[in-house]
Amino acid sequence: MPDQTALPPRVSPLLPRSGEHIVDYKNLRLSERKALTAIQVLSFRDKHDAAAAAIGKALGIECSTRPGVSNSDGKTQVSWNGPNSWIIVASDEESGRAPGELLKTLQQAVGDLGGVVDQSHGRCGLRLSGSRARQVMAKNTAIDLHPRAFAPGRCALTSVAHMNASIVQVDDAPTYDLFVIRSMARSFAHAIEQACLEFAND
Amino acid sequence: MAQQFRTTSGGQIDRRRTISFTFDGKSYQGYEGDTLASALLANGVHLLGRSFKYHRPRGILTAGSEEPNAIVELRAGPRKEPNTRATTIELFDGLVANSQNRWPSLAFDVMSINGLFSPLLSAGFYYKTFMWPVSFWTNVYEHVIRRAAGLGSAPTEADPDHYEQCHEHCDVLVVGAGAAGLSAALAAAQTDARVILVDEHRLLGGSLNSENFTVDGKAGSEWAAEAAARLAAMDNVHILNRSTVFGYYDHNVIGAVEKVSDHLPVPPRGHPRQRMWLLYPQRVVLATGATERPLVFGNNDKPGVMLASAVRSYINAYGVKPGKRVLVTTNNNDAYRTAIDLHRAGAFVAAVVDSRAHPESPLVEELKKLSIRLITGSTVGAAEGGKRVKRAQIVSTLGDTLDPESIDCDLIACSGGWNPNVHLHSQSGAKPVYDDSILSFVPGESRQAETSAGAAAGSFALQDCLTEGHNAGHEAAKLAGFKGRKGKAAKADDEGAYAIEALWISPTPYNKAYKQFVDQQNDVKASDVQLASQEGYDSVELLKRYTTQGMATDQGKTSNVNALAILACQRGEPIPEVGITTFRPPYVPVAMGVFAGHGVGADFMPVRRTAIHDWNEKQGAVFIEAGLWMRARYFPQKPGDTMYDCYVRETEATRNNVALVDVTTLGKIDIQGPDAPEFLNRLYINNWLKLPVGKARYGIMLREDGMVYDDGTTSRLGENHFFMTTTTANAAGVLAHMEQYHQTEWPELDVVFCSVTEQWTGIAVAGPNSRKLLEKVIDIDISNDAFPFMGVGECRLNNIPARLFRISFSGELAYEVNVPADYGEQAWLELLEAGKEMGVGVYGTEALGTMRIEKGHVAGSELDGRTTAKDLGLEGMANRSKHFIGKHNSERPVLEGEGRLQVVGLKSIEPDRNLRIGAHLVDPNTRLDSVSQSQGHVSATTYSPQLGCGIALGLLKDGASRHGEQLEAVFPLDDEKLKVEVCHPVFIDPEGELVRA
Repeated sequence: MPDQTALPPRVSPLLPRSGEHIVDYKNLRLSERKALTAIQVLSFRDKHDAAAAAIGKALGIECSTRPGVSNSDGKTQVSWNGPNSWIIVASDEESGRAPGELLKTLQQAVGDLGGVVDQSHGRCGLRLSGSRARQVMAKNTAIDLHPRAFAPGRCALTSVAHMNASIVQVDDAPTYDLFVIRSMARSFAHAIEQACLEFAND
Repeated sequence: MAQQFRTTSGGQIDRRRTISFTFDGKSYQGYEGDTLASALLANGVHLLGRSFKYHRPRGILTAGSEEPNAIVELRAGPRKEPNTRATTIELFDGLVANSQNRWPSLAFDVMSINGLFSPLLSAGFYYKTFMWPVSFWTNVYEHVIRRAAGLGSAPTEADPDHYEQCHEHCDVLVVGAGAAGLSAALAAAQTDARVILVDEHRLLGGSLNSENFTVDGKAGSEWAAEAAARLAAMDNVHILNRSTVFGYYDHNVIGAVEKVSDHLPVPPRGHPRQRMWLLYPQRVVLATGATERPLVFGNNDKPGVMLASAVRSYINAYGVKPGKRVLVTTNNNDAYRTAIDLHRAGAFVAAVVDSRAHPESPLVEELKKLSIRLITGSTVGAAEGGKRVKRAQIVSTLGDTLDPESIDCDLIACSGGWNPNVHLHSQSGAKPVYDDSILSFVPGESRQAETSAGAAAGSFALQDCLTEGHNAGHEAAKLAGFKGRKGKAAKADDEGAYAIEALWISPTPYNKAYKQFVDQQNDVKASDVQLASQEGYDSVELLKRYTTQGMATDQGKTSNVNALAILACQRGEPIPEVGITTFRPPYVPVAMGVFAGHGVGADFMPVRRTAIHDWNEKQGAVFIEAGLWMRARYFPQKPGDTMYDCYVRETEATRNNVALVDVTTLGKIDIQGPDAPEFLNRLYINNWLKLPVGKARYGIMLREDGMVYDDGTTSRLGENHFFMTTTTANAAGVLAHMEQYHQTEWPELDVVFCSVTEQWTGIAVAGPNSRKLLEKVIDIDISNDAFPFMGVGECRLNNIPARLFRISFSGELAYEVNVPADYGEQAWLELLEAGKEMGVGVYGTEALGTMRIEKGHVAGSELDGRTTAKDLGLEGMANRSKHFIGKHNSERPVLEGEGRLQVVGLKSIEPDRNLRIGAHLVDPNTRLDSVSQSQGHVSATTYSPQLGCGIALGLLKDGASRHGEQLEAVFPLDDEKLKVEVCHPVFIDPEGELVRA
């Protein structure tokens, strides 16, 4: 067993910044969720329900087979990620897991019910929060994020700022977690930052 | 005297806030709430521009976005905006506007001489006047005409402002916030439906602000303000003022443009100038109102001729008297209100001239009470005056031949009736129908989830607007699933019914020929319409294109129905027989910037960067775009290093020692499942079932038509676990290809797959010393026996978890290391550190390309969609005893015969000369102009440091059997010829000993 603690520090795909937040306005905050673990599970044929149950049991969080549903225990998000797929996202720091532990847990739980793929380094997670967050999102995505249509516990795979992304609503602030592929992270953060600028002097 | 045409009170302007502005360099003052047009009128300025063709003086015809004449250049420098309508520009402090289409000045315009040549400039003049000689058309005539006929000039500098796009969904969208729109929004909103209300003005209320109406016992404007305030206070209502719906698209998608900062000198920081809204309503209520038609009489384009309703707007909404001595001319009841409002505002109404013999309305009685002169059975035959109306010639409409009466006036307020604004209804795919009672078109059967209410539906009475709006709003909410109570519509005072009698062209005094304008923006006269019809262009669509009527920036809002009616008269048919042209978006001109939104300049497309990007940048790498990716192309080491210097150096470093290259951009797909081997066996032409775990294999995929699609290596990581790589260009395409086949053709295969391109940083370590370098950092045995060519293994690079692949694109002993991307830069640095003492180099895509050409590896330029595996010399890989995509079509006889373009190597046999990509391969001494003799082409070229000459890959007819022949590579565009020798495409190490060493 290799010494996991000896892993080098993870380098964010975003530009280095002085502050903690990318955007820090009165009614709007954008920050990176750094060094996330993101594990994609793809269920094999006729194993969708069984895989969902196995994930749910292993994590103690309901893993829904319904599209657009994301469940969380406050530390680990289990989100629908396509017709036969989920993505499980957590910050190891917040969840208190050792690096690699979540991957191992899921590999053991899923077994031959599906494929388990580590995407931790392939995704950049950004958190957009504040009373203006919905307006910022409206500039970047056609998804209806009105509280009547989208609420905490919902997620969507869509285009955000013309880039493929997933949106998970975290709370009613509203707070959204946005996930985009690593290589586009800077373009993505820049686009969201630009959309926030209007609210700088709220 | 400043603002001498201002009334003493009234209007939605703030008389305490004076605003200074300049027009054509002269300073004026207006009030907050003014438009540029109202402020100019308040200062007595009526001459605003020159017309398109004849350079006739033009003024202000309307008070809204339908304005054809009063178009100006707004602002200066990079923010200059040509062709903006003075009637829609909100006044701001320091506003600068200039008239257009005049030289040297607005008052004296040399080109107005065009008016004298008007017989030459009739309908379709450019099709017939400038026919000869033919060569003059593009060289002379077109330039002269374009120069003479242009309107504003575009700014030459880049727009410094920002534009953006926004999306919003709702249950009910109400377009227009006049009486009907406000009623509709109130009725829909009280059911708790999500409502968006869009209006193009600053203030909601529409005509309630420009008329003296009473609603629910209050002034109309007051009622509107209260309704707006009620709506603004509701959580479920979003009001978009200063916003125009310009397009109604399929699936009820609506486009609107919001003028966020147009009323300010400069947008506040972070704010866009304009914002595009894409609205997705369940139901739409079109309360878009109606537009008044001018009357078609002689010189009806003179400054001082204004729509009757516009005159009321200026008086009631802006507190401006557009004239002191006014003549009102009409064919309907509505214009009587103008006379009454003018009288109340203190202007002298010289007469109301009604073309009808026996007008009846309570308004007629009111007019009499005010002792305003009424002349019936008559109309204005012609206006007279220079740059402003001085008098009107009144002629009989009843066929009397009395001498015309001349009445002095400085303003003619005219009304030819009202056209419901059916534009959006028509854009939605519906067909408006003609309504004889209002002599205009009304909405027809709906094709999408929309309904029209109020004046937009042809109901001009205020009470009808309020009631219809209320009903439509409630009904729309109900259809969207909301069951709230209906309530009652607001009550308006009775005003009497609208009545109109046709008057499409006025008789002229003494039957003299006057210019009677139909389309004022494009200078189309009634006689042009008649002439077009006589010349056979008598369908509405042909008429429009031949005369250009309705094709200006106003899209003929004030001219379309008049033109149709004149055409119908000419054809002797009723108007419905003549038909109507289709309305197309945009309803008003929309700046390109707002369509582009945020996506301009560096933000035009997202950029994909690898984990090593920043290091590359620090090294001064020159980048190349590969799709969205930025890849390091070469690394200059000292000033003056050319690309050639760099790639030669980088190639030599690799071939003689060891060098690193970032190969992160290759597509990577993780494939798992019991049927994964079978899935691969069907995707690729070669065998996959027996690939051992821990081994990689090169594979070729075909398209269904049998042509090669993509290539790459796939490794077996576990019994049911594979890792595929694709070319950078086809990464997304191959994944989609796999999804399609799995979902539609072979759903029975138990396999799952997903892209892991982003998870891994790929670094190739190539060169004879690559093993030596890697041995220092990799924790597994990589000796040739333990880790042979095409071996694959999990390992650690120092303390970084990694996957190691022994594959080679360069033809050298080489490895590819994959590490999780957040460690990518660290891995790169550690490899450089480990290789420091042996002088490790780095290389970019140019050297990568050089080495792949030397090694004869085919890539995108050979996999051009027209080559088969056989053409590429790869047929030996195919297992034709199994099924694979493209197998059947790749066996077509036509692909087997002679004459196929096959991949070959090419060597320059002229010293110091390299081949050109795209050059044709021809027999020596072929004339350059006969490339039909082409036997193939050069697909990829480089200078080969290894061979010391220019080399290339090419596709040559039956090339596989022509090695040793001498040909010429010709490039006729540059008159270039080069002698080349055809050879085997693998220039170095044909036996592949190096990679296996």
